[in-house]
Amino acid sequence: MKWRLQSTGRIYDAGEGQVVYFHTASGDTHLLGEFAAHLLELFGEGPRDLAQLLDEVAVTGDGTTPPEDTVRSVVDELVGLDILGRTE
Amino acid sequence: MTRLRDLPACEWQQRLSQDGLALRVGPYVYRIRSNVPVVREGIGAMYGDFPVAQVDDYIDFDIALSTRGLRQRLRDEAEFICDGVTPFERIPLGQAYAFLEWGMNWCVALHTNEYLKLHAAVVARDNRAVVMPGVPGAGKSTLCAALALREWRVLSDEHAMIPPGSRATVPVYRPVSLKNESIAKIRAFAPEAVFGPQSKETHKGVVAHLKADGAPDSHDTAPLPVGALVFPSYQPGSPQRLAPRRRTESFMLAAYHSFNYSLLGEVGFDAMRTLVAGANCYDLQYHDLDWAVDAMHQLADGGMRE
Repeated sequence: MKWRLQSTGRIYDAGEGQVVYFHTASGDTHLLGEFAAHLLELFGEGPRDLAQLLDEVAVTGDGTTPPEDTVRSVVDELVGLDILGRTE
Repeated sequence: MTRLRDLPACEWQQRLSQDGLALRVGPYVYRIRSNVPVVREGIGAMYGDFPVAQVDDYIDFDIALSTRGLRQRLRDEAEFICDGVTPFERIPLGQAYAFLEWGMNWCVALHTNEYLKLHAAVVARDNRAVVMPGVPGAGKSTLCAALALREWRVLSDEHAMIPPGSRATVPVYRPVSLKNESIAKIRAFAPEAVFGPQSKETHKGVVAHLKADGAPDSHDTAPLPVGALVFPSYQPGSPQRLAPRRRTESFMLAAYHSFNYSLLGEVGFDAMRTLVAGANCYDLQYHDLDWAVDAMHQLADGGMRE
């Protein structure tokens, strides 16, 4: 299963470990954790599945891969907010 | 510039009761008509220092708080009218002045979207503004009144008006609305304070307005830079503190307190981001007005963003 961004978004990052995310399509504004913001950056490059995400967060992060459950739960949260949608 | 107090009382009262008395309130002009004595009394007490608009000035809000027809006269009722429309139920005459002020708030809250508007008191010291968003009852008006009586300038008791793309706020001064026990608190805090007519048994209880335009530049219309966002919270019995808070959480809370953040969409997001990124953000929890005013002075002396 792959996910993709449903629309473009805007981020306000004050360097506080969380960001404000403005979802352009819905006009909704969300307070998201830093890790969710990082995943959104990756999705900004194109659709991804769970395996790709796990690879990439290990490469681009601090080298410590978050547990699969963590990635999955953040993706589910972003899907629930309609920020991400399934591509297949 | 002619101020209301420069006009003979009989002249402005005649305008009020006939074609309308046009006053400048920040960037707007209100034309007010009323045949209700308590409204006349309130305008005389609260609006003496307001600039009178010129004959050819554009009227932004054409409003009236009047008794119309025999039935209203017999029942001692009045109604608020804006551009010929009566958006609210009739109200008892005794509440007429408070209702005029609420109606004037309503005009700005509903009809102007050239600014990002926050439900907030705005005060200033040394030409730097502090925006204090808060729900009704948070203590923002009481603190705003106390600061006005300690030589702060009040830019608004109700609306922070932020031009998108700037970190400034546009002054839109009007009298400060106080409710219930706040009225006695401010009378005790400053016995010389000037109040307008008291409206009893309103849906908010007893309401009175404070004349808070004692600062010489109270009616200047130039925007002032915002140095801080302070989220006040009146909490009797709790520890008092002025503490920094995260900008991202302040963004969300300020958006919650906005009249039109969602309406403005991406423009609103950009405006809020510019505002929050350019200001220091604090929680102010207080129960003693002297302590809160001191805390705000300290903030003005070193806690505001340049």
